[in-house]
Amino acid sequence: MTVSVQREDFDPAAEQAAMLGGRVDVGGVVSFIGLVRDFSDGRGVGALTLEHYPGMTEKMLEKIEVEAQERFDVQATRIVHRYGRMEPGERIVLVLAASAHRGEAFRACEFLIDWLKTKAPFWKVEDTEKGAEWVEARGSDDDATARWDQG
Amino acid sequence: MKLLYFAWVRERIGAHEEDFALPAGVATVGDLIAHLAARGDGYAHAFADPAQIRAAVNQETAQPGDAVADGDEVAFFPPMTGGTQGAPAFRPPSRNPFLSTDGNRGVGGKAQEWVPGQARDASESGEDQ
Repeated sequence: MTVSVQREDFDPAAEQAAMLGGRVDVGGVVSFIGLVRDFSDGRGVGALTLEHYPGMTEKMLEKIEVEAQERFDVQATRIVHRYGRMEPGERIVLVLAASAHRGEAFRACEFLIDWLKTKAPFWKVEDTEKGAEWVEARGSDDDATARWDQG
Repeated sequence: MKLLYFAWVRERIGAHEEDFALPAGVATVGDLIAHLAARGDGYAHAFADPAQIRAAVNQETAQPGDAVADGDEVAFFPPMTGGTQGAPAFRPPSRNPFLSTDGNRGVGGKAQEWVPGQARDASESGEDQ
């Protein structure tokens, strides 16, 4: 159960191995890897730059992990989130959830990425044809978060 | 106290951080926003639309009615956009804590029960990850 906020890329396989630390009671690991894509809202996008709030970011990610541990039967979780400038195709974020049972792992992983998007202090600037533009928050992200609040 | 600004709030104000002496009569996050907006120029621009402003006190998410005190670290920023990319499929009418009248956490709106394997509604399909 750890979080990292870093400028560098990460290696998903190495992260999974480190999270499991050799334990053999895990039935499965669900991973989500977010990538920079070259379009957004129908426009072409070049590089993406992520800004964050050092200190609060780590705190919020840790809280989100604790919340996932309380809600789901997970044995281990891991969040790696990058900041700084990234080109299309690069990895932005990794979420791992390990459980004895796949259902709990899938649900925990989806919960983590849903909550992360609206509760962790990150902001994105996209390089578009019209220049650099701040990405606006999505209503559907709030909805994705809110559905978990129902219980 | 220390004030921190992020993303376009930082750009409009033209500073990331400043030391600030809490004036008499400024007791809450909402008071502080009103006070800063009245400084004019970049501040007025940054705080022109309170619906687009979020805040944190001592690195915890804060609401407009939350108290502020000297010694606090108070941050102002736009709604968060972590994870993967995506532009708004629609603009939510009033899911903003700074516009809410009941003092609730601002995650109201059309929450829906999620059932594993069930198709999402149209507002979520065909968008980002």
